[in-house]
Amino acid sequence: MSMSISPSSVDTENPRRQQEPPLPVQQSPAESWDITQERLLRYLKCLNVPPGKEQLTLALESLARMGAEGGQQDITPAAVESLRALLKASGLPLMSDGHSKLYSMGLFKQGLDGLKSTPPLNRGHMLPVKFDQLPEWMSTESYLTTVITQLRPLLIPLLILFNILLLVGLFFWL
Amino acid sequence: MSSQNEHLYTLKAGIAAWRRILFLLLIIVPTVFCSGYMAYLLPHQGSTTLELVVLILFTILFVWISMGFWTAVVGFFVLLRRVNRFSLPDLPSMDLAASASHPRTAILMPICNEDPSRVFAGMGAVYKSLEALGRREYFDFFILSDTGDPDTWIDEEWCWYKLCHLLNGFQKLFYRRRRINRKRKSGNIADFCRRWGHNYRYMIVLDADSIMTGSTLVRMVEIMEQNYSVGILQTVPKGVGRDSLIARLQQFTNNIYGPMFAAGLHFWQLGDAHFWGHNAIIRIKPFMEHCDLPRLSGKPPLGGEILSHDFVEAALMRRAGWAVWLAYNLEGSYEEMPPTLLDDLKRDRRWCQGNLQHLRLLFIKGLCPAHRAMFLNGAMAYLTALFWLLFLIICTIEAVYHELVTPAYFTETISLFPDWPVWRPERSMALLFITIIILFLPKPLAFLLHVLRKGSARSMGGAFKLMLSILTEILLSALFAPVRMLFNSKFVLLTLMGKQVGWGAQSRQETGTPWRVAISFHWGSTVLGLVWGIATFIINRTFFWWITPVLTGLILAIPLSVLTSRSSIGRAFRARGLLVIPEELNPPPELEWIRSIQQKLGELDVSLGVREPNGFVRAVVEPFVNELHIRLAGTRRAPSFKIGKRRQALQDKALLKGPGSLTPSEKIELLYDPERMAALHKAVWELPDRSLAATWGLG
Repeated sequence: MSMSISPSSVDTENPRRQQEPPLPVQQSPAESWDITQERLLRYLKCLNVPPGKEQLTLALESLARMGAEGGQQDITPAAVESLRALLKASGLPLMSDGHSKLYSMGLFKQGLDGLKSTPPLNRGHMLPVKFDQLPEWMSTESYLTTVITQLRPLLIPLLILFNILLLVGLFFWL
Repeated sequence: MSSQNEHLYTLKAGIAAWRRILFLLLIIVPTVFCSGYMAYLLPHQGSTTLELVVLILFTILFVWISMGFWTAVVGFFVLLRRVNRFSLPDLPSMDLAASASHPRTAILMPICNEDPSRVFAGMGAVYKSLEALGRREYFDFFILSDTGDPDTWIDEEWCWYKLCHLLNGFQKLFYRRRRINRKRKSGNIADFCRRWGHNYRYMIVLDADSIMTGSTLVRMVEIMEQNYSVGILQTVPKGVGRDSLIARLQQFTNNIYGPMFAAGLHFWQLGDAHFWGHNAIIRIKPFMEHCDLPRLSGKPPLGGEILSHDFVEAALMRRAGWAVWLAYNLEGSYEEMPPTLLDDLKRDRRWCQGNLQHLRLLFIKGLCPAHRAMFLNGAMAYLTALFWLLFLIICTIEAVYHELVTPAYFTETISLFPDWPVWRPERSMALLFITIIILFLPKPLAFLLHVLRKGSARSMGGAFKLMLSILTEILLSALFAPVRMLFNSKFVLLTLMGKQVGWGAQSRQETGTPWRVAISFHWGSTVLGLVWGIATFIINRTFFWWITPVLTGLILAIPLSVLTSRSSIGRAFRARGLLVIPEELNPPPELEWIRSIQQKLGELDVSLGVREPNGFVRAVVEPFVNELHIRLAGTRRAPSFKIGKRRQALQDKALLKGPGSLTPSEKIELLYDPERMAALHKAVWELPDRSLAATWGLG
């Protein structure tokens, strides 16, 4: 199964993307190969390809198909692209039953084509009921909020006064 | 309507009126008597302003506790008698499978930023339960998400796929996420009704942490089919599945007193019952016609969207002529309790705002009186906390005043006798005794009920352990009560002052409350308790002893909050057979299935290779998750040039600075664009720079 959306087409259709400066890369050819190897194996791991021979075979084949020359700076993108092309050609990453051994969890045995998480729509309508609720001038919100808002500045002075009275009371009592 | 049900319906109206008159008399007569007695006990017999306020507050609080008391007492007798002609679950069952047109039912679980694995495992358990019963084909399952967190969104999609894969539930288990969560939970359900409501006759609404057994679900559908006048049938969910001490305490309370109170409520309410928003079955057609809620005029918190929508929906359903019943004796309905005191208080703050909003709906035309009373009752649940606090404060002022100020025996008015204030503290013992009976009698009644029922006490650890558990519950509840009073008073005042509350996700993790957090929340309670205690101890020692129970709870608020949030302590109580509920000793398979499904869902993730498994990164990096998200996003119209440009800038930012540079709303914007997600996936895997790739977990 192939993906319906091609990332490359997205990029090529957007002229602004092409004007972007390339990302700063300063790596030796050996380091580039290290990264490439690591990236390919990780990609295959993400697809649950068992580590070992199967992973390595696929990685090697993708490199062989790439036909890249050693020491090339942008080896990683080319190698990943090649691996993806290889997987796509063989029905991956969304595998058919024939390749299910690559998927230890057994997920994605079936294709995602036509996958929907909701049933088809069967539209109806709901109209909000009309309330003859309390008018605002009668509502608790109106008068209580007003009273409390007006009392708010007095709250701290009142607390201080209360504490002073308490202390005075204690003083006289003792 | 069948003749049997018609008879039930016509019978109900007359009997309900008599029962409610009796209820009012049982409350009013003792209240008048006790308030009069309280006035007699006060030094000036309620003739001063302060004493008058004390008297008014006492009367309100006495009415409040009397309502609970009489509901419990009546519930006790209803359960003791066992036979109840108005109990819908007691009607003879019918064979739905044999009926010509089996009704289709949707099981809905509205969620918002919950733990996806728990939510989907819960729905999976319900699915399995119906499958085991052979009735799964008549139900469809919907998880309706209002999640705003991008990472949780992706986890939900992924969990949905894994669950469908695990249970082979494609085309049966559905998942939908709304882009705009207008009207929150009620809007989410209304959105379902608009899209797919016509496909079903009933919907059963579950909470993110609730679960119901297959047999209960089938029985609910049967009851609805047998009673065409019923619009909503509400079950009484039992608290289960928690380990922290406070949650176990609530589970125990819920299990031991819950049935009694529910039976009592059923006795008064009959067909004008509550709807609690979940663990209930709703007839969709009348719900769609009569229960879409409008916005209230004015600004939040008392205006705007209706927060506690369930009470209002029940009232509207009833207004339209459909009955709302409480199935108090239908087993197999469960929910989880908040794991800590702070989580419980946060939930209370939301409910407080919602319930106070109901005061504005008291006088809507056409509502039945029972539902008006319910609105008032809901608001009073929080207002009484404030009244209790005021009552205690005024009593303190009165006690301090009488110690510090010499009484004026001879006033300016000419009188033959001096104004002689008389305290009668020795006679107040009678009033105290009555209050204690009202507050605590339901507890021995519940104990008696379980002892009399065969096997019931044994299912809760045996009669002796049950008694010890009740004593533990009384002690802990008495300690919690002043803390709740203080917080609920604060919530009421904040709501009235116009402070709005968030409606975020409820914490369902049992991680416990750290000391630092508890101190920051409860230091005020402790200081208040200490100052109050020291002052009254010095000035009026008699009064100090009277309010010691309140002061103890306030002073111990911090350790109480921390220690009761700990699962280890909850488990230690359980190991000693305390606060045990039947579901802990003999758990139903559905509760076991939640754990096993959650475990299996977790196992399906083990082999994935990304180091930072947050949802957005996984949606970009992992090929499966990326592909799934793109598929579920579906085909969308190309965005406008402006939006496209903005999204391109976000994509570039993500590539240059890593996923950490994006805000949640920026991540969501990218997630809405399947093309960007495909492009990002490709670009991230092709990043030649190791340090940049490391930000995506590919280092």
